[in-house]
Amino acid sequence: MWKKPENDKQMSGPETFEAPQARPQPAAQDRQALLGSSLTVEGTISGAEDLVIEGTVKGTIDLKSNTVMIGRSGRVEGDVHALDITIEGEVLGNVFAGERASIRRSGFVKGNVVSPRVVVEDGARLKGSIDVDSVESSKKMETKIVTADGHEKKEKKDKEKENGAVSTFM
Amino acid sequence: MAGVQRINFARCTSKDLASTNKLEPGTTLYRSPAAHELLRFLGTRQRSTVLDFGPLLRENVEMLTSYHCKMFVEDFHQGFSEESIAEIPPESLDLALCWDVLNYLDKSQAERLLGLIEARMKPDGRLLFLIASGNEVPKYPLRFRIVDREHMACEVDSAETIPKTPLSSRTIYALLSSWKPVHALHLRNGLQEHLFAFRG
Repeated sequence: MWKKPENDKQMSGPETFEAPQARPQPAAQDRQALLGSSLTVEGTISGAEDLVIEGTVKGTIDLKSNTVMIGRSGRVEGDVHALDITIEGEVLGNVFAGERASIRRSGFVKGNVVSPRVVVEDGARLKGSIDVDSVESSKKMETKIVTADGHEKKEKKDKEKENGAVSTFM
Repeated sequence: MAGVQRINFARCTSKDLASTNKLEPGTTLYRSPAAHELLRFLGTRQRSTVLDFGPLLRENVEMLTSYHCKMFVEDFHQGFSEESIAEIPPESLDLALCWDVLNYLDKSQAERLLGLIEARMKPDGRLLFLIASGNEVPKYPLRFRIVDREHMACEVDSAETIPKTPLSSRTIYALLSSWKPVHALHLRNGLQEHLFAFRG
């Protein structure tokens, strides 16, 4: 049986390296960006990736198709538009969530929260209003009904209405 | 907790007693005809607007938004501002939840607050408030949760009590000349529960 000589490697001449395979890059909408606690951004943040804010943003956040998490040390001075918004820090502005807005125990919002689904935890603070049935959030719900398999989605919406649009942390 | 006494849980249904397992120590569960009446009232309206002077509590948010209410939260515990209330459009409110806030105001403050509410209330809108029967009230306002359609729970933060402001039920009634009483009840926990309708 043929056996590879032990010094085969030495005999094979200069060692060659294969170019490392490029890691599959997640689609833009699957990525998550982090704004660290020592960072401050002034101006509008827009794009198509999820965002975790531990620093300060002075301006509008416009990530309507993504998730935004404002961490405990995070502070936003401006409106936040996203699909799903979780607030553990502070928002001095309006919150528009296409699907769900969550205010955690440590969270504070000075502004209006507009979303078809609002989740609050005891201890959360809000100076402003909660609107689960605004024209904007209704439009969002209607869009979902049209794009998905109509009948089932409609039933789901009706069920949500029956059960109440808000769920809670236990 | 001198101002608040435990309610007789024997009056509650088994379902309610089961739900008391979820209640924190220092919490009183009581049968509330006002809760029933105001939820029935919200059920008759298309999309109500509510002004809540209590803290942001998950049960209340859950219950009120299930009626598709728009909620303005102006937490008396955190100190409310007239400017915030002034931002609410005139004749837009269907319900104001004052809870036990009036126990902590003198006559002029109560008059001012009720004036702000009246200016924003729709005709036939409702006002809920509770008045302590005794001369003392908890140091900090109670937290009230709408547990279900029949019950509320109230919680105290501190056992300390302070003298109640000299604002009697009679004085409050005099300040509510633009309102008509819908419901009033002395609760066993030393509170009087009142629900009024705005004449407009």
